[in-house]
This record gives sequence, C-alpha cells and structure tokens, in this order.
Amino acid sequence: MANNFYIFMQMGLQHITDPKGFDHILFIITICAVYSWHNWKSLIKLVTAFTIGHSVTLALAATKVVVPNYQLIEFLIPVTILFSALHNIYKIENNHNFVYKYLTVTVFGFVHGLGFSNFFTAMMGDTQSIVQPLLAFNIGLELGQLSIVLVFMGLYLLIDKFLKIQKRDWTIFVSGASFGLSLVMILERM
Amino acid sequence: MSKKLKVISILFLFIGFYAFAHPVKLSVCDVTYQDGKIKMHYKLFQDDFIAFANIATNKKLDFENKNKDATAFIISYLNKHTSFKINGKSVTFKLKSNSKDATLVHIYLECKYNELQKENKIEIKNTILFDQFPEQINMYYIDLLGDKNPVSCRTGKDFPNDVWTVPFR
Repeated sequence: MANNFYIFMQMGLQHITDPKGFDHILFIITICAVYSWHNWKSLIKLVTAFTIGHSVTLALAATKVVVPNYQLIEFLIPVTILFSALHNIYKIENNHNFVYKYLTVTVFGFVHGLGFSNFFTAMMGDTQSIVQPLLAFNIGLELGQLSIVLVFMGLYLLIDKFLKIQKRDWTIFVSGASFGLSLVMILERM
Repeated sequence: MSKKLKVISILFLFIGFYAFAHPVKLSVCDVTYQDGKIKMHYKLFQDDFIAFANIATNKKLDFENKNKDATAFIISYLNKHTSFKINGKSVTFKLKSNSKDATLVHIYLECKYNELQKENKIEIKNTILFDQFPEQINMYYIDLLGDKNPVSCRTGKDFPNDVWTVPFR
C-alpha cells in the first residue's frame, strides 16, 4: 500500500504540472504575477488559500457529498483565470486588498478542486477506501503547485536581473497573456 | 530571502522536475464477485488508449455506441495483453459492454464462477499499454468478499505478472 501512496502522489503532481492541461498552471501563474520575491510571505498565503479551497472540494467530490457537473466546472476554471488576470490589471496602480484577494483565491480553489476530482475519481477502484489515495493525491498536487510557483518566480528573478523589466510591466504582460489564453479556453468550452 | 528558504525552494524545484522526468501512466481494474459471477471493470484513460487504438487499427474507433470495430479491438487487445488464473486455472471472461465518458474508456467483463474455496491464488498477467508507455502501471482492486475492502495489486513493465492470495466469499 505504501507504493500505492507514491503512485497517487505522483499522479497528483503530474496532473497539476501537466502542460497539456495547463489551466491550473495558468491560474497559479496569474496569482503569482503581481508578486516578487520580496513579498514571498503574501504569495505563500495566497497559494495556501488556493490549497485550502481545492482540498475542500476535492474531498467533497471524492466522497460524493458533492456531485459536480464536470462540463460546467471545465468552463468555470478558465473563468477564474480570466477574472484573476483582469483583477491584476485593474488593481495595478492601487494596493491590492489582501483579504479580498485571499477569499477570492479560496473560492476559485473550490472550482479547481472540483476539476481535480474528475481525474482523481477516475483513478479509484469502485469499492476502494479513498482516505489514503486522497491524501497522497493532494500531497502531489501541493508539491506540483509549489514547483510551478518556484519555476515562475525563478523566471521572473532572471528576467528582472538581466532584462531589468519593471514589475508593473511584467504583471501586465503575464496577466494579459493569461487573459487571452483563458478567453480562448472559455470559447472552446462553451 | 533566507538561506533555508532558498534550499527549500530548490528542493521543491527538483520535485517538480522529477514529475516530468518520471511520469506515471495508470489504468485501473475492479474485480468483484457477485451472484456467482466474477466481474471485471477496466478503466483506461482515453487520452492514452483511444489514440493508440486508432493508430493500431488505422480507423477512428467509436467507444461510445457499441461500435463493432471498437468491440473487436477491445476483445483482441485484452486477449493478447491480459490473463487471469484462479488456483492455476485460466478464467475466460466475456465482454459485456464498453463505454466512454469525458476521461475514461470503461470495459466490463464477466464470467460465471461457482467453484468457491476459502483462499484463492489469483495470477494476473496484464501488459496493457506497456508497449506504448514504459511508465505504465496497471492497478487491480480485487474484492471477492464483497466487504468493500479490496486487495490491491498491480503490474508494471518490470513486473508484468502478479500473483496474489485473495480470500473468496
């Protein structure tokens, strides 16, 4: 069973970092776009908010307390990205209200968690206990999430160091790209 | 940023890169016993299986609507890549149905089996998608007691056969 734990953890890690299904990657990148390494504590808090959100609904859907409409969820996931990108740009000159952002990311995490549950339940046996696999899968998701954050922030560090791009411009660039890509996803999933 | 945080950050980066370097591909099969029949329910991720099936047959197979070509492919593929023995005797399963949802191809098989014994040696050979993906793992959950506490076993490219002693109702 210990090896099954590793397999489910690996599947969680792979699922969130899969470039083919990059909606989750794009959401995490969009959240990160307004932050630099100096505000790493705020960034960790936001990523934690996302973790809390998706863990709750992943568990609810995996235990069939909630039975999501996956088609609707797949549509809503890029909507969360679009909204986050717009908010980044709208609030670029003003201070971000952190409590509002924290609550928004948590709620968006609910949506992504329902999306994860589709993949998770596909891997489960019909009569299998979900506790250990769910924990393993969730740990894999968190590790993958942190890897995405680190790769993205590392990329920004290099760009800042060598290209001297302003933080504001970087935020607009990343948020604009997220907006465009999420809009395409929304139109594809309608 | 503190040195400790930098070290932790690099550690998590390696974990992320490890995911790319060592992917896992999975299929799942539930084996249950009910009303004198052993039932098998294969779940194959359609991203993996359908693309391969279409290339192998040079057709666009429809796994949703009882398509003859899809059914024929499933039967031929499972016969070639799986076997199931109970106490040394091969058990032949019959395809009941197959279907597809947003994520999976579902394949349902069953066979009549009345020779009950308290402890049964189950031998599984499963090489589904091994030729496509070296990282493929095929997982089984065998619940012959009906107590929703299945025995878990699996096959992988380094271990295509698996032998388990599974209690039987």
